[in-house]
Amino acid sequence: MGFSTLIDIAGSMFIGGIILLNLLNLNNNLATNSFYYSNYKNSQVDLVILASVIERDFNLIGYSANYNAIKNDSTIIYGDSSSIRFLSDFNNDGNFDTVYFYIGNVNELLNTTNPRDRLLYRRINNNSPKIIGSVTEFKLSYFDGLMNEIHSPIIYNSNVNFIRVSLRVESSFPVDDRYSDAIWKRMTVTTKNIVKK
Amino acid sequence: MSGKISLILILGFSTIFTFYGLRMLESKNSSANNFYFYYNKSQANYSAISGIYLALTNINKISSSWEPSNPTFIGNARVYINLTFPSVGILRIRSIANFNGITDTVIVIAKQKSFSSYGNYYQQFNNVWAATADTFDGAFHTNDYVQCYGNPVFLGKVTTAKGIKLWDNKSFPEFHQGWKLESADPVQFDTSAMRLAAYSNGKVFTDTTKNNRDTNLKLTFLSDGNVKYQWKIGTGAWSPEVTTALSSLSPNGLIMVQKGNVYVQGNLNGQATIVATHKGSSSAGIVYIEKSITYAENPNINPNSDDFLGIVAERRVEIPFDNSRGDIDIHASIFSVAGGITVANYQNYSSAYKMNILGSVSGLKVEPTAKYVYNSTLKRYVPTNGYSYIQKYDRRFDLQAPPFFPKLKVFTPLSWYQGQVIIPNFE
Repeated sequence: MGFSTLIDIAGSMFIGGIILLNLLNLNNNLATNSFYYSNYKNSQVDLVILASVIERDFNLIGYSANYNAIKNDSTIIYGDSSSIRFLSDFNNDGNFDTVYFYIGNVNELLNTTNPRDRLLYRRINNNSPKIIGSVTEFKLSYFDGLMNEIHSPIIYNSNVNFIRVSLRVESSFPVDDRYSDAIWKRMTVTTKNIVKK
Repeated sequence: MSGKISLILILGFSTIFTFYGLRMLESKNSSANNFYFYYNKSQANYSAISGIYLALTNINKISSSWEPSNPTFIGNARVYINLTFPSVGILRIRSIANFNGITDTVIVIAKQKSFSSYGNYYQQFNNVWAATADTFDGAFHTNDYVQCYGNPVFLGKVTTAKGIKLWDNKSFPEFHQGWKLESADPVQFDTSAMRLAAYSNGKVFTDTTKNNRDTNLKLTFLSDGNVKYQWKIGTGAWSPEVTTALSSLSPNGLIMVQKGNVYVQGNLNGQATIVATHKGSSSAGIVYIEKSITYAENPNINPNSDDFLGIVAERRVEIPFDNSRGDIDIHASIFSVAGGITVANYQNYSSAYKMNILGSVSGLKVEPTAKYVYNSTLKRYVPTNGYSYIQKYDRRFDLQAPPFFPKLKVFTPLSWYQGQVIIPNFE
């Protein structure tokens, strides 16, 4: 009688322990996934907001409210794989403004765990640059009228007809050593106001 | 006892599951909302853009006085289209689209492009073929097949209403910016507006005797901004030569010969458009280019040159036969309503010369300018008599044109404004 009770107790402790460990593990996984997907959602939201800004600004390359002032030659002053400077009537007053998109150094975001994240800046004329987002990739590619890639750097009056923009946003902190990310790519964001050659 | 503990355990884990479950559900919903927002925003933008194209198609293809009936439904989007004409030849279209509660606005300024913005624009090729040593620069359009004999070179984008036709299997045309099919827009224009402008602030030469005779005008442009001219009515004598400032002869730059012909040459300093109309006469409406006509400031050297010349012939533009002339340079945008650029008796030239055109050529048809034979050493067709057509597009014509130069009827977008940044509003 006593021996069987001991066996019962030992057995139930063993089974109970296994169940408890499983439950704890399940709880841990739930928590991890919950935080990961929450991070993922935040990355997606950040990406959508950033994409809205990029789409709007790049769609206005070469635009002027004064249609008589629209430039015959290229409105892209300089471009490379991670920055671009172009002319655009940003405030719709008929005068061209210089708009400069570029990414900062990784050292500017030392407070985050992500080693790849950088700030994306936009500067209009000689005003101080504004931060419009945090990205791990901001890649630009340039193409001529036949969709042949033009190697950067792009200088003024290059035969650029199309620009491909690629963005990658990652979470600042990892969950379980995983950074959640979201990617956005667009070709020909900018074609409508560029004078085709 | 163990039952209570079990119950407590179950309640505890249910609470934990509920907490995390709700959190994960919230993330899932937010992700879905984020996706829907971007989808709706994109659809609103595309619908607004579709509204623009709908307006342009109706105005260009159906009726220039088309009015939108608002709202228009494009898919599930409600689109409002508004048209205004800020000035002659300029159209402003505003398209506002609403899709699932998100609104986007696109504003386009469209312009009736000048024919001069095309390097070459032809209604038909007829029995003529673009050939070896012919070079076409700038946008090239024909409402016919692009007929190629040998290896003509097309430096700009080529559009054709029908396609490409090769003379034989030894023909290899070069399309440096590719080619594509595009709908036809006829080569036509109305001289009445030009006539009004010429009478109001330009210069008109016509039969002042009112005997319905042809009027001929000789124009020689000078690099100092002056122009020498003589005219004659019918078979009468030429008038004494007059030298005057171009701006005095024609303040708005338009020089029209009503029912007659123009003989033009020289070195233009200023802006002018020369028009020769026929008014039914078979011997009128011709512009003759006897010798080179060039700009005082070559835009190839100085892109800021403000010299522009338009030549509009209601019948044709002709290079008269002159075997001693040699190469000829023509700096102008040419519009020939019933023909093209003709080289008279091209097959009788003793050699092949170059006709260097800096500008654009638009006309009813491509005209022959040289005779070709097949060279078995070079393995291509080469010109032997007449003039090779070497045309370089004047890039200034992308946005500027000679005064009162003919325009296409269709409106082409000049600028696009999509200025809204729509940010999602998440809790």
